[in-house]
Amino acid sequence: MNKLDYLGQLESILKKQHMSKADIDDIIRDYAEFFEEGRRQGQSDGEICAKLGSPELVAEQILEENGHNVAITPAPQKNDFKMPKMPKFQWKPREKQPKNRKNGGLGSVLTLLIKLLVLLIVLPALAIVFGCAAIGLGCGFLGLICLFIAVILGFFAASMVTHFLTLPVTIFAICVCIALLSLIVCLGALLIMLTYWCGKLFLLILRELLEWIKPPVKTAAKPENHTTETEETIPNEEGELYE
Amino acid sequence: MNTQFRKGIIEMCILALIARKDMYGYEIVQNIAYYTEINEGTVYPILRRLTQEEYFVAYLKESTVGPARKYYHMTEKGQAYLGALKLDWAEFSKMVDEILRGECHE
Repeated sequence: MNKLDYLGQLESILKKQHMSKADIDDIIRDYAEFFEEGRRQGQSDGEICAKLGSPELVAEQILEENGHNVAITPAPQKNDFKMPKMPKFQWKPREKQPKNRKNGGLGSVLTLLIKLLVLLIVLPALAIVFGCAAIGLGCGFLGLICLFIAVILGFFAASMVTHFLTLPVTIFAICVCIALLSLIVCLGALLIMLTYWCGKLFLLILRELLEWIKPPVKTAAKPENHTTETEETIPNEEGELYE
Repeated sequence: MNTQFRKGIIEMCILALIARKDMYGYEIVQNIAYYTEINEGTVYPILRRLTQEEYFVAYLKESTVGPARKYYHMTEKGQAYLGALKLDWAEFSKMVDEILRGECHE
């Protein structure tokens, strides 16, 4: 393989990898320079090609370095040293932590505020909705009991009236009354279950909301405690010194 | 030897060579090849990346004997990076040496 073949192959491989033309031209220029230098040293193109390795291999290495570059953000690049992973090889990791903490602190305060705001709006709204629903269901339930009593009374009244009528009509009336009664009992049972579920759902949402609110309150409270503690201890120490 | 490991060391060698004086690609390859057998194709991709990471600046310089050569010059950022690498290398190689010598930490 000669210089042109080699560079042509390399170029075509890199083109397939969506690399910009400027980058490809730059890379090809570098390898062309390498060929020229090698030739000047009296090496044949074949020898130079053998030293470089196949165009595929070279392209792979270029892409590896490039991909590596893309994947890592400018700041932590210093940390990257391609050696086996050793804790001592990661320099400057500590500078970053306080920054993160600061951001985290600000963020948590902000989210806490948002959460409190949401709580102030959502909790009363939920309470109103569920309260109304519970009251409505309760009323419905009471109404059903009344209906149930009314139907029983009606049943007796009907039997009293039908006592004076013919037998088949009496049986028909009793059947209709029983059907109505069972329907109402079923409806009542369904409504009771619905009330139960609604209550359960309400409690669940309430618990979720409380859990959602709790952790940031804790984390936000901790540093405050720390600062107050340190603030308290410093004057004490100073006081002791002055005494 | 593990290629990643080797590449890390080659990277350090490239930095150390260019810290001494501005060099062009072939010169760097020859310098490293003088000491150890390397895959010569790997040097350019590393040079490219180190330039992109602003450890080097590259410039073209006309040559009297042939086409222009791309020289690499170390930046302050590169110097700081090499300094950190050197320190870590010293610590790391000392540790490895001790373990290889069979010294036991008790």
